[in-house]
Amino acid sequence: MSQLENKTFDQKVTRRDLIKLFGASAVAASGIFGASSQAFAKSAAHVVILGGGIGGSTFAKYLRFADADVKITIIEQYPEYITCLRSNDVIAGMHTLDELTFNLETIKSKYHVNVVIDTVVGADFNKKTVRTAKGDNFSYDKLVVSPGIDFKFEDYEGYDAELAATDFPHAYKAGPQTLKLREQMLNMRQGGTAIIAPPQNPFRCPPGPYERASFFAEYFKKHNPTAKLIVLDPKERFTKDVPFKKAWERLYGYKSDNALIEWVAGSEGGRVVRLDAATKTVETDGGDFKADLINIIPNQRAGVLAQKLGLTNASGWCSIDRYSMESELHKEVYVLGDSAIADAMPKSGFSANSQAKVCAKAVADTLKGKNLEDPVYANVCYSLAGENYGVSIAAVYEVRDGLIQPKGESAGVSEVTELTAQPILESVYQKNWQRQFVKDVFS
Amino acid sequence: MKNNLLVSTIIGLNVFAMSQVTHASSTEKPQVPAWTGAALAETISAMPKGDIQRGQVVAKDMMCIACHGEQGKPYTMNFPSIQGQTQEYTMKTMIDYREGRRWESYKRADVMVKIAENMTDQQIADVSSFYAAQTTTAWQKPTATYEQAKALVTTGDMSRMVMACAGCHGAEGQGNGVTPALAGQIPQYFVRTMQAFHEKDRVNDVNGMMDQFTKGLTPEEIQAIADYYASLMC
Ligand SMILES: Cc1cc2nc3c(=O)[nH]c(=O)nc-3n(C[C@H](O)[C@H](O)[C@H](O)COP(=O)(O)OP(=O)(O)OC[C@H]3O[C@@H](n4cnc5c(N)ncnc54)[C@H](O)[C@@H]3O)c2cc1C
Repeated sequence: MSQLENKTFDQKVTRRDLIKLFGASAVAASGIFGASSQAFAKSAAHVVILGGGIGGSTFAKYLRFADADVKITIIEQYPEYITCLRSNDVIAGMHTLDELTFNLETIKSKYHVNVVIDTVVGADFNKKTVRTAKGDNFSYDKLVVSPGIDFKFEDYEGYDAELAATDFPHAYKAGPQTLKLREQMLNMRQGGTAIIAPPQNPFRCPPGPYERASFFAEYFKKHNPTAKLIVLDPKERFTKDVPFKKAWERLYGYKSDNALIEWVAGSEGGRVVRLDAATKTVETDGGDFKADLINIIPNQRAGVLAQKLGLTNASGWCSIDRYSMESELHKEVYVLGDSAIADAMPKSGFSANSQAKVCAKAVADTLKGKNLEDPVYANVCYSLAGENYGVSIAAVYEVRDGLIQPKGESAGVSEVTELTAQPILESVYQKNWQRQFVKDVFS
Repeated sequence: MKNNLLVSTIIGLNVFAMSQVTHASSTEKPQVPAWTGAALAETISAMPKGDIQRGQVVAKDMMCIACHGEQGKPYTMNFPSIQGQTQEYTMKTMIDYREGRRWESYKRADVMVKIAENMTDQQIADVSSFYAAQTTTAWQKPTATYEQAKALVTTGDMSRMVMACAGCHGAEGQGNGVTPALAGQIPQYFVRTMQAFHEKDRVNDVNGMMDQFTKGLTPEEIQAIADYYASLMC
């Protein structure tokens, strides 16, 4: 273990020490972050977490619950984390980005986790060290990687990260692009056409594009009633499509002559293959669509960091042991959340959180030389098809035949009923769930 | 795929019940003027006449029965009994939720606010008359503190400015117009409600009367009164 880490963990660290360790600018920049003041035994194992998003943050907290003595470090590139959860609401104007912004301060102080704000640039799995952009090295006993997703812009001729950062935001990582897309929706001309192009499976938050489409339709209904939203989908079906489409029928005239929303399946030419930014036209298998607003949500693969570290397989995602989330490619390295191949589990914050808890227990048990227990995973995705119209999908998962699969009859999607209150109640549960969930992750 | 709604409902409610900590909501409590006796009387008398049969349909359609039970008696202690509640009081409650006058920060009001916002006056009148037509049954057997509570309920304690509950809520706890029935009420709900009044978390009564007239009660006495009413039927 490097001297730096011994010092960080074994002594009460003062601001002066921090400056010596990290340099004045690092301390100033990271502000309240930095080393935990908890003293740990020299012999204690060190678990290093790369990425302090939903998966990484939950893991740190729950590993602390499982083991009071282990040393834990999170390395996260940004001092603040904006949740994608409810970021579609920001587009709709129901939330502000501020309300979705969290940091790792509580994780650090309450759970004695060393928080480092820096970008991880590499790792040496033999020496068991990771390297950051600022040039620091951290040695680990167990490494946990939860870096989110990366976009496959190459699947769309004429589309790239730069266009996404300017006039064609994908807004699939919450932040400035979210606000940009909102602005574009608000400023779209009366009677204009908007396009949302969801990605091919698998991708982060399977209902996300359709919730977003619903919010566009709801906004148009109120403020731009002659506008139209076209969803150009490479797929034949999408998650919760039955209740979503029912909601679109009920609320936005879906399938009627004056529908605010139209959905084009892959077999009908929905797959987007090219963007002509200059003329605001997308080309699909079925022909060209010209629009006033184009929101391509690109196909995805595991986060850049997972690729860089060699944790991905040919699919572009990370294969893991279903009992522990340990990488099948590198021992003592665990992959959580969107980057991991978790079979039937969707790539959601809820899933990342659930996987982090399973993994925390597996890591703690392994460190103590205990056998692993059979894991139970869970996921619920609440989405809104309108401000007061919720639809959900839920399942509890177990490992069966080597795969993560729904347990018994636990899996289900909101039934379409004629009960007025059902979608209203689901919209309330959604808000309550979100409020509780972010507490489970960050405090 | 069976009982899908139930699965999500249960998960939703679990989370819901856990979230006791106050958190800035994206929708803040609207500023609504407190009731005066006259304004309340006028509002209630302006409501349409309710229809019991239609009310039963509303109770199903708005899923009141999911928490409050088929006849207004809940399946669990988490939700209030509205079985045999006076029509006026249920109407008042729904209006209070709809206007945001009732918006307890212990986060149990969210569901009711959203449901009420989506109901018409007619639906509110109908469902209220349906519940008023049900017979109140006791929630639990009398406890050891029954007599002590009964004395407080029927005579109050003027030395502490504690008014006799029965004075307004009726000798049998049967309620009277906009003053709610308390017989058969779930004790947990009763206690929570008294706390909310005392902490001014709930201010939808006329002139803050509930706080004023019950401030002197100890937590033990509130529990005893809750148990007393829970054991009554009418
Ligand atoms: C519009 C939208 C709505 C959504 N709504 C929901 C919802 O309602 N419910 C739900 O459950 N899920 C929802 N999700 C999905 C959810 O956001 C993700 O599934 C979840 O964030 C995955 O967690 P993660 O830990 O894998 O990745 P992330 O939460 O993205 O965390 C990755 C972290 O790693 C950091 N990182 C990456 N590379 C490096 C590096 N080299 N060095 C240091 N740090 C690095 C990143 O900065 C980031 O903080 C939604 C997603 C979107 C896009």
